[in-house]
Amino acid sequence: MKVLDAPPSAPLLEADAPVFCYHCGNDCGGTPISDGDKDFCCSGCATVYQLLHDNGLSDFYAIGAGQGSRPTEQGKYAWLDDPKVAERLLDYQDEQLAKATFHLPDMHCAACIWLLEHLFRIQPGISRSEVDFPRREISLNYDPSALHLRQVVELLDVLGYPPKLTLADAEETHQRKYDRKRWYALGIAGFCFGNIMLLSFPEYLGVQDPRLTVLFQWLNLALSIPVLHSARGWFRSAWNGLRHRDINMDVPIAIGITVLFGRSLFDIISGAGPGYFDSLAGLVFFLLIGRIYQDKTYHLLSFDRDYRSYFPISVTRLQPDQTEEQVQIRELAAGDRLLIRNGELIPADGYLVEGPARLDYSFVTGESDPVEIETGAKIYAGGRLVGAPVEVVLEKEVAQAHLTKLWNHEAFRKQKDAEVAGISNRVARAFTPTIVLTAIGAGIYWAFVDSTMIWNVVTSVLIVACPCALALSTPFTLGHIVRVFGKRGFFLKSHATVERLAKLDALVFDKTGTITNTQASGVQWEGDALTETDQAAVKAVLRASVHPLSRRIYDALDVVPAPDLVGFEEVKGKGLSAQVNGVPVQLGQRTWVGAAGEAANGVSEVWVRINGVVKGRYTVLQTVRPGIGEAMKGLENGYALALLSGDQEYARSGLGALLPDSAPQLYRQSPEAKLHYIRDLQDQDHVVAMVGDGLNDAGALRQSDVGIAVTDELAAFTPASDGILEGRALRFLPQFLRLSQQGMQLIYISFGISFLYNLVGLWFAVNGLLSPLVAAILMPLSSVSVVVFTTLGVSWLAHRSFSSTPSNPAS
Amino acid sequence: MNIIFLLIGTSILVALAFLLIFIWSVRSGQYDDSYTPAVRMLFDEPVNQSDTQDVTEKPDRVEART
Repeated sequence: MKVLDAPPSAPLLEADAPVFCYHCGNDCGGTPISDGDKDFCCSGCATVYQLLHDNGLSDFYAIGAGQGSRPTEQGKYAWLDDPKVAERLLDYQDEQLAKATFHLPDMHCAACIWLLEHLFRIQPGISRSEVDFPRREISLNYDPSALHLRQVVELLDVLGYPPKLTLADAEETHQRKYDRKRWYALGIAGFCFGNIMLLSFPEYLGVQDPRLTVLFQWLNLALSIPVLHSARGWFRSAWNGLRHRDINMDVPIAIGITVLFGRSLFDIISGAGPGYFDSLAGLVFFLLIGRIYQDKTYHLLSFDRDYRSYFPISVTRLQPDQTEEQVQIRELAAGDRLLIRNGELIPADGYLVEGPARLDYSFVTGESDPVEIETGAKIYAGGRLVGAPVEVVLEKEVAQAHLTKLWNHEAFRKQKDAEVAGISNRVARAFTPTIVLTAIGAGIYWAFVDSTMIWNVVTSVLIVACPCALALSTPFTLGHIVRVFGKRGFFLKSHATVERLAKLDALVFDKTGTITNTQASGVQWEGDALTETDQAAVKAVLRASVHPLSRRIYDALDVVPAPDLVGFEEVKGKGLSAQVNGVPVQLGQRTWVGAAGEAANGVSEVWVRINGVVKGRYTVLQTVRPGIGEAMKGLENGYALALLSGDQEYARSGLGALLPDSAPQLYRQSPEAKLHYIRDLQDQDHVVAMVGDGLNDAGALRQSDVGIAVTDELAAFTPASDGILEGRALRFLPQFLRLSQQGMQLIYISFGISFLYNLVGLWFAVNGLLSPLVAAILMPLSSVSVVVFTTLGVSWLAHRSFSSTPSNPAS
Repeated sequence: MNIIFLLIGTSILVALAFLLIFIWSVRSGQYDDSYTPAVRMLFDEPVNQSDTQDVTEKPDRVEART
């Protein structure tokens, strides 16, 4: 999401009023590019405006002024010319028509949708473009004889919506992403339920016309057969459970549905009564609603990403005669010589043959400083190159790399959801035998009293015991909690995660990117306003440096670095100096640039001198996320806390006070070490949550009982996890955990309520008084009251636990 | 009283028609993305544009299933 820069709060003269870019809405800084009466912050925005204007698409700005996506440095898409790559990315292709779907993380507003759906006006070769905003996807049809895939991607890139193209996109099979089956099932069950209710009315009102009642009974029978089909999910699940010698919640439901249908069929054929088809259809209808409600899906998020979502599709291979060719990652072999450019990724383990290189392994190891590697040294997959291009000879294939091997660990092969029986299944294990025994007991009793009543009573007991209220309380409570969490920035993969959250007693945190904030929000400028040229010059100098402060400021500067950098020099502990376009630029300590005053305490600062004039300083603040200290205090009681970091020991400073002294803090942890630490805790009977963010946490996230991935940008890569937590919501972790525990208590209470209904029903049943009318009243009544109770209860609890906190991120 | 048989038959047929319309709406993807169409319908289409046809044209569902 683009956040508009707030105008400076300091009083300004009229002439200094900030100029906002007509395209992207950012502050243009000192030198806006003007085109008539429009101002732009950079040439990229101006280009997009010109492109839209020339194609009669100026309406874009009427829909959302200053809402454009700012084009950044253009990616290189030459590798898309490879027909084999194109084939993997396209959904469909023939002579005249090609279909492709791209993920565009940068689309963010209604104007984006409008623009992307009017691409055909800019590029006539595109015949259709349709946006799926919740998924940030665009599906395109174009004419491959007039247009190449590369041109389509480049057009999107120029407009400021670079498609995210990773190895995972190329390897995934394109399948339907939406589950429509449950909607069909619900529609059919609803149709049958409504009609059966209508046809049962004469029965409710006591109409005594035999012609009518018989016809209606047979119509009801016909209408209930599609209902059975809609309910097949419960039969399948119950059967799977029984086959594995396990009784889950679906077993009593399946018994209930079967008995309802069998008893009704018997009643109609024998002429004994109208049957319980209305109860049957209502039950299935409510259960289907519950199932849809509990499966809240976040289309924007993916909980199953692995390293392939991080890797590019192809890289540059050098042939023996030094010519470059683009080759797919999958086709790389040991011994290949690759050219890696600034910002590109090392795809597999190998040796550096043309160096030295600076590699940023922060996403793999959690270590925030780039490492320096000499020519001839071994390098591992997953590092991002910082600085000048290098050449690498591969030693292994991609799948054999040190990094990718982590995904072969056994932790990635188990299914977490299936492992722990949910609360409703545990209840069902006790509930089902009790009901069957009650039915048998009642049957034996009636065998002595009045043997004609056995069939009636036994089926009545099984019907009334059908745990519809019981089965609905869990999905509605958990589904509602998942929604409450989602509103506040915590997105769960499934409702079952809530149950595991409630059981936690140990929390393990990663440091970099999780407790600390990797985003540039801590960087502030103090001094004279820098022009865009100045900023570009500063950024160019920073690019050459690997000092952590340089990197932070580099990331914070939203300009394209100036190209011409000469005479770069880095003096350790002092600062940087270089010439950009002939202008001397110095960055570093106060004394290095010759600024007056005392050295600051407690703040990291970088002073800037351009062309001999001290312009001011960047301050880089302590970057622990706000509110973490309080959150840790809230978690201290009740949870064993620990901190694992891939960083060096010196990064400890400033973090010690956050965690209680008893909490272990381990540094220089490899991805495997983190995984093993989690498993050791689990072996000590702890239920462990891992809170992490990078690929280096992937194993630990997977091994833990609840893996929570923290991210600042929802569209960005997060490793496979059970929940995705927005960075700004991390401070609310104690509230989330407490709410999950209270939610489980609510489920227990609602179980109590539904047992009461069952007891009332049982009284009717064992006495042989359960008429279809009583069943038709009792079943919906119990279901609806339980659903109302749990949903209102969760809303109230959520309101109570979040209203006491000072600021709500959802607002 | 016989009229009730006719009425019942009609009511079920009407209900069946609605069920079929529902199934069609799911098939055509109306339950897939519930956000974008709500935004899309607010955009004004320029009048007298020869290519307006392309925008209003329904996506080809037959090919989408390939």
